[in-house]
Amino acid sequence: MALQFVDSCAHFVDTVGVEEAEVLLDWLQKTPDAVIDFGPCTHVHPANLQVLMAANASVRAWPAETRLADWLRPLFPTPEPTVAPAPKRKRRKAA
Amino acid sequence: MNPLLTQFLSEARDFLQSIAEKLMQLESAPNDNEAMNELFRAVHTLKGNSGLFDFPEMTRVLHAGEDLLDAVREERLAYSRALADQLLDAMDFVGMLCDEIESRGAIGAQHASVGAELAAALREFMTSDSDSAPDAAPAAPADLARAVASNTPDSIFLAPPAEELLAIPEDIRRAAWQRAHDGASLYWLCYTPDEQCFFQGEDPFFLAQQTPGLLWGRITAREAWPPLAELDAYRCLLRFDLLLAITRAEIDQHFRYVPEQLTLTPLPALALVLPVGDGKDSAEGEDFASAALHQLETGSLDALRHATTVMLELASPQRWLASALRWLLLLLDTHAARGAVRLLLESIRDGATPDWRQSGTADAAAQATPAPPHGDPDTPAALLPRANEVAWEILAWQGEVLAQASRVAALPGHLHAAATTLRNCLRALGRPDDTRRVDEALNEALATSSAAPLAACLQRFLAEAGATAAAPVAATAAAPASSPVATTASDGEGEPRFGRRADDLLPGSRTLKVDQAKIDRLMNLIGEMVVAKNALPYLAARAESGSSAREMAREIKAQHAVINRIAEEMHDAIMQVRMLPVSFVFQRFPRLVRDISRKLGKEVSLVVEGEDTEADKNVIEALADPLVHIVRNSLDHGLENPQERIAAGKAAAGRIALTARQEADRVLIEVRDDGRGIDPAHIRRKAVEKGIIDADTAHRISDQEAINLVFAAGFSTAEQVSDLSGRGVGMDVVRDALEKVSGTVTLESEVGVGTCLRLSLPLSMAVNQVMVIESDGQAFGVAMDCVVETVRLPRSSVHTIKDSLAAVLRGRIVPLRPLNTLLGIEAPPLCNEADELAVLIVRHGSDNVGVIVDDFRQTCDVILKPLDGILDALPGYSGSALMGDGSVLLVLNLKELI
Repeated sequence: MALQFVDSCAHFVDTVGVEEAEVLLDWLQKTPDAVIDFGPCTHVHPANLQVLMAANASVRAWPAETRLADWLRPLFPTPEPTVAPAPKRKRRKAA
Repeated sequence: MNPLLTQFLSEARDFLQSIAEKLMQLESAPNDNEAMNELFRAVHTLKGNSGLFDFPEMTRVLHAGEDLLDAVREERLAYSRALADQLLDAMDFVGMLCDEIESRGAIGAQHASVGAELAAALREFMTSDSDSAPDAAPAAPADLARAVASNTPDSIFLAPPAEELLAIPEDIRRAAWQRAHDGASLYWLCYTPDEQCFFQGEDPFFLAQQTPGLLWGRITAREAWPPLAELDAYRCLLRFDLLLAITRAEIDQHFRYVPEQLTLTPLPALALVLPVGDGKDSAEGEDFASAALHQLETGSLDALRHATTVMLELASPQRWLASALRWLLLLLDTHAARGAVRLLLESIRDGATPDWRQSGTADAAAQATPAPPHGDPDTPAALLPRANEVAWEILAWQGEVLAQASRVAALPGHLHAAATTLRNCLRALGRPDDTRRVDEALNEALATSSAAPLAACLQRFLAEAGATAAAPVAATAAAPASSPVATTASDGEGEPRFGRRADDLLPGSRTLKVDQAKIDRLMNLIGEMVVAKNALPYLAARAESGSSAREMAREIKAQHAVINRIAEEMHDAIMQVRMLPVSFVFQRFPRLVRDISRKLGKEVSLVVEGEDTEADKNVIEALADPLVHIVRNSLDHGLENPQERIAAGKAAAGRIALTARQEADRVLIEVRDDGRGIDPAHIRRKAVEKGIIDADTAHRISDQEAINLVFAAGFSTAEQVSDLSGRGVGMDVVRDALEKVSGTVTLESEVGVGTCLRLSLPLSMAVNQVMVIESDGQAFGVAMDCVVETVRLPRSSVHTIKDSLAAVLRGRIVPLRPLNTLLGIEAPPLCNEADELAVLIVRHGSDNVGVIVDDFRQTCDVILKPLDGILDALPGYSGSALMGDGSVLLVLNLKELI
């Protein structure tokens, strides 16, 4: 099962397909303090994303896959304040 | 290619043909419901068929066409010329896609945007008010569609607002700047998926993630989210903003199924130079910037770079100033234009976000961005730097061509060709004004019969190009100028698009549609042939068992007769299979005449007769090109403008009649117009001017001979060379093409009344039946179809009337000609033992003529080969044939001889 509900946490596993969106919407309506765990997730169908966005769900764990995480981070408020991306860079020396 | 696809292509061509026919038919009779229904059905079926394959571009255009026709059918929309134009354009596009599928097996991604544009233009008709003036309609929807489909930048600095770009993290923007510096083109892509896309199994997020050259992307909501209870999870409300560093073609390829859902904006790299952080206004920034601006003015860039580095070490990395300094350093490192650096410094001084849209800096933006994607990518004429190079290369080659153009006879042709190439290249390079210089040089060159003026003109262009190339800034700056010009040029002239014109060669259709009955007949004949073959071993057994030679000979002859009959029937059956109606060639002319006459502003009615006349496939195919030339000539030179016609007391609409009919073993095709005709005096003058004949000859030749000069190589009377005709390669090509299939062309013309061209072609080019005759000890062949009968006349019944011989045959006087005399042989005709002359009665026009020969032999089937080489010029012979015994038989052309 790509989508697992444990108490008030929804676990996204591997690829979460379009058909889960309805289930997710139902669950979110019933669970006001829902948190999301994307940990082992590799792809989320956008139907799920918009449901999560509309519910303004909070995210407990970002996907391990960094590219997906980069896409998802700006979409949701996060309980942990540490994830705000701060541009770090090295200075470039003149050649 | 799989059989299904092959069949689809063959059917698609038929559908396209019938769609075009119906569209034109409806133009003259817009209320023809039956034609309308057929048209709709054809488009509908074609769309359905195309859906079987992976051709989204084709299906999309056809679908839009189908919807439009449905609206017309239900009378929600009026049929108009503009609508027909748009549909014909769309069908041309589909035809072009078919060609591409046939040659490459797939459709290139570059067509996606054109397809979307066409579909949008078609749909525009439905949304636009049907009351709007039909004449004004075509331009507006097309423009709108283009704007919608590609979001064409009307200025080169059309970037998304800075706020949007600020959403991109600075390091990604810096990386993008580097990519642009390395030569990549940057695009800002807004992908707004269809609301229903989830139901179609699409995953827009995945598509966006997989975009090649993706530097950054984000997902946004299109509208505020409703409460969860009202949310429809499957109505897509997302939008994807992507920053891409790839080519336009790759974008088209990746998003080929959803081109209408994209808004693509070329992004100048400078737009990304936006410092972020807090504390914009700072005293140290202002001081630094003032000093740095001074350094910039004095050109001490190293000092500037050093100062920036030091300042950056002092500044806190989170602050706005630090971000601005990092950008400054990057601009300096990538040798950005000075104007850009100055603007950034000024913004540091004022503590404001640099506004790259500011007037005057747009140029700086263009210069600073290495090879930015200027111009409208949808117009093929928009030149990328590479294409620019190619254009200059072509120009350089023209120089070589002109240097070699020394043969006087072909010189005008060479000059015209070179001038046309020059003009086209200049137009493509965005310098249409310079084409006038080419024209002047061409006229001078033609007047002096020398390539020098044109070559000099070309050299000047190349020299200018050298100067331009030395300053790449100017070259890139010239590029954006080229695109709007090219766009208006191609739109303004209503130039047919998709590299396809109605008069182009039909794609060599390699399939032949054959009536089932013809194939059944062949099958039966093969059966008979097998039986006849099986009889031969019996004959061999009889010969071995010792039958008499005479008996054997009789039986072999009998068997020969059987096989002969079968071979003849098979030949006939095969020829039947190869027969094509001339409509195969004629069918393109309604469209051709329609397009060209509208372009020329003439009114023309085309009359086609005898389309059912059949001839061999090769002959019909060989006919296509010459006919196109002729009809184009008639349209361009023959027919006058409506005003001229009315002034000359003719109907405003010109008339071109295409007639085909069969006469004996020839197909006669006539192209007759009621235009101004050909003026022999004019032809004489032109021919002398062009050095085709000298002045003495011009006076000596008859009017008809003068008119025939249009068939001379390099002859053209058009004052102005257009892309229709007038290149001086028309009529001689026509004559040569026809002669290749042993056809002939004759021209009749009367000034003010019209011109008529008659083409005569053989019905088929395979086996001929000839009768072998003997004269002065030699054997000759005579084509069987002109032989009426063979008779033996007693010498006493031949009378001499004046100088010629005649005889009375069955109560009619038949003129007699001895073959020996016709061939210039001295010997008198021989008689047989009974003192009778062998006379071959042949058809000559509508009369019969007797040809006196020495003796008759058998008839036989031969494959007639036309004489070639030096023998080609020999009159009186239609060709040679190889006989069963290995000898060569010369076949006489009695029509020429008598």
